[in-house]
Amino acid sequence: MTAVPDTETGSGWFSDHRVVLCLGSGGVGKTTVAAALGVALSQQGERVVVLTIDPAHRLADALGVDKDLGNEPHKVVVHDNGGELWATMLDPAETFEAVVREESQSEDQAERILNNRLFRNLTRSLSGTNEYMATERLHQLHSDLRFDRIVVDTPPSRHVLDFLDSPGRLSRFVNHRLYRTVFAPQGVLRTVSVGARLVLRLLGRIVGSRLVDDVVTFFANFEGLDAGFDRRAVEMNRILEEETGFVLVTAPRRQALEEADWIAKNVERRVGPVDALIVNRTCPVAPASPISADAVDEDGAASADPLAVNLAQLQALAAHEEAMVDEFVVSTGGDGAAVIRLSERARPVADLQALGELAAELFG
Amino acid sequence: MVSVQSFFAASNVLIVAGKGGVGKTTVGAVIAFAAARGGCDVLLVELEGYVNLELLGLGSLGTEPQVAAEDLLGAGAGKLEVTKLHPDEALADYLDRSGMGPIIKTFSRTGAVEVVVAAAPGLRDLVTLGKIRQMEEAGHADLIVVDAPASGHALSLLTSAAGMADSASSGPIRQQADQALAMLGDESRCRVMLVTLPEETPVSETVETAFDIEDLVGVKLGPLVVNGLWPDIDGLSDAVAESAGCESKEIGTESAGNATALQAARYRLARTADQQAQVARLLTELPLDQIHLPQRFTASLGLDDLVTLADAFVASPAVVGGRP
Repeated sequence: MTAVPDTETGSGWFSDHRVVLCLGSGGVGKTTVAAALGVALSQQGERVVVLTIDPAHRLADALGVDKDLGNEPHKVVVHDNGGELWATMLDPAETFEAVVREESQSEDQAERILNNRLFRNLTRSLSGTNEYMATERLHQLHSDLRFDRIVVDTPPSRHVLDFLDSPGRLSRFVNHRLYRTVFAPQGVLRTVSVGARLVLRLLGRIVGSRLVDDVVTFFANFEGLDAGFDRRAVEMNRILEEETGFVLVTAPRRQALEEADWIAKNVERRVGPVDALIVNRTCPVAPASPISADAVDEDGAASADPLAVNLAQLQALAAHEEAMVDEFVVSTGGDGAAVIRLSERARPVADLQALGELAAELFG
Repeated sequence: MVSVQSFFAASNVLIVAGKGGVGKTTVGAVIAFAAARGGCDVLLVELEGYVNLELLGLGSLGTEPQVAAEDLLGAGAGKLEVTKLHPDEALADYLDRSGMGPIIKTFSRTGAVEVVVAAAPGLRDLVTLGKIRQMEEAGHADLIVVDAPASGHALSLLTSAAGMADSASSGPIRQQADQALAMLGDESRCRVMLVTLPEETPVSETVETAFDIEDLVGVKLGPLVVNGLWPDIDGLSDAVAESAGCESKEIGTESAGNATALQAARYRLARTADQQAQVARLLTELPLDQIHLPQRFTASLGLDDLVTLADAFVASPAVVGGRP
């Protein structure tokens, strides 16, 4: 977890990790960075799969793949040195169906769970479900011997850290004391305990009695599956703690940096320090020093040379960004994480060549 | 300036939505400030938990609504208040009041919320909408500006009422859902304003979200806010063409400073051209008026930016002219 970089921009910062997890808030270019990492590693001869959770098809865009990606990895490119780049997009429903079928003791039990409305709610709408399915999918890819390295692009979420909390999510849910009290295990099937009737009646008044029936059926059907889910959670936590490098992607704007700082501190508290900070979309012009007085004056420079006006504005932006990023690096990246700046492109990164240019910047 | 006021008076609630990183929180603050400057008493509700304190000139924000940008709002202006609304807290309160108080006390508050959310995923969103509706009906402010969560979550917030109305045929939930639907469906009470950046991915997502919102929710969309447009610099492309001519004639004599300026200008022109192409794409793909806000050349917006952006907002034909 504490890989110290040998150079600031070398690839040493995650060489020990089979899994590379990209974290960051929305709009910072996380998906593009994940794709660029995939390109860079495959160019070095690795067989890499990039898993995206992004529903907006941005990975497919960034990789220049026309057809929509699905759960089955798609081979994007093969290099002469044996390196391969694969891409796959998370299909939450398909992923979970596979898990339920694997863990169920019978075909019947699997069908009953998959057809239950609460289960369908769980797989579609529960906050953090995408993240949970992503860890399940990561678990599946982890045991797929076609890949040396798995790069994961995490979903933009209200709570970015849902991903790290995900492995135990279903176990915690199923084992919640509220349910444990309501559905005391009695014999093979869990039946509703006498003392729980009041709870159910209140819940029914709020969410509707039909939903309460679904809940009861769901937990009856889930009998015997908890152990399997617990085991998977333990295994997924081990992968996150021992085999995963964390790449934090951010942008040189106050809100993005503040969110990144918060993410970094929480990741450190849970699994250890992040391995790399990538400040994406920085102004591609060197900052002026010192900032000239008229640099920020956008309107009052009518007489000046347009080239100079533009340069002054971009240099001012670059100087603001640098000051803010420096502060962020001191407060967030104090533990030997690699710090990499990627400059903003004039045009969207939409093909392998553009990704290759980003990849070259990533590895200096 | 009558029409600016009528723009802000057109509905009681403006829900500002957009994908993460497009400046939604900034735009929410700009709209709220512009409306207050135009004479409305405004309540800015932050749902995301993130408040841009510096932009609003605030030192901190506690649980109570706080007055913001007071010094900039002189005579004739309305009051601007900012408050946070936590969806989980709103749900816990609701459960408390629905007779589940003892259960919530027995089990952890977050645990109970998590379980209820799993059983009825739309409930938290519905209760949040309900809170906004209560604020609207209480009439403490002329305008409520809501900084909604990022796209996907905003959509689930807006669709929760229809979803819950479908699954609950009667009872308090059905009543909540019906009341929320009544607010969402009435454009004099509520409109949604989408925010985007003039870039490939945000534009594509905005088009998708706009159609989803109209199809699934039936709420009225206000003008689209296109944020971060790089202002044109007169004569920049001519200057580049001229310098490029010199460059080819006098190779080696060009100063390093000139090369940097030229490179910066080419970057700017390419960026601007790409932005214009995205604006044009938005115009063809979404039949919505656009409000353009300029890029600020800073990484950290403050009160002066709030004023500049509010000026640009109210100067927009989509605001001053109103919709035909």
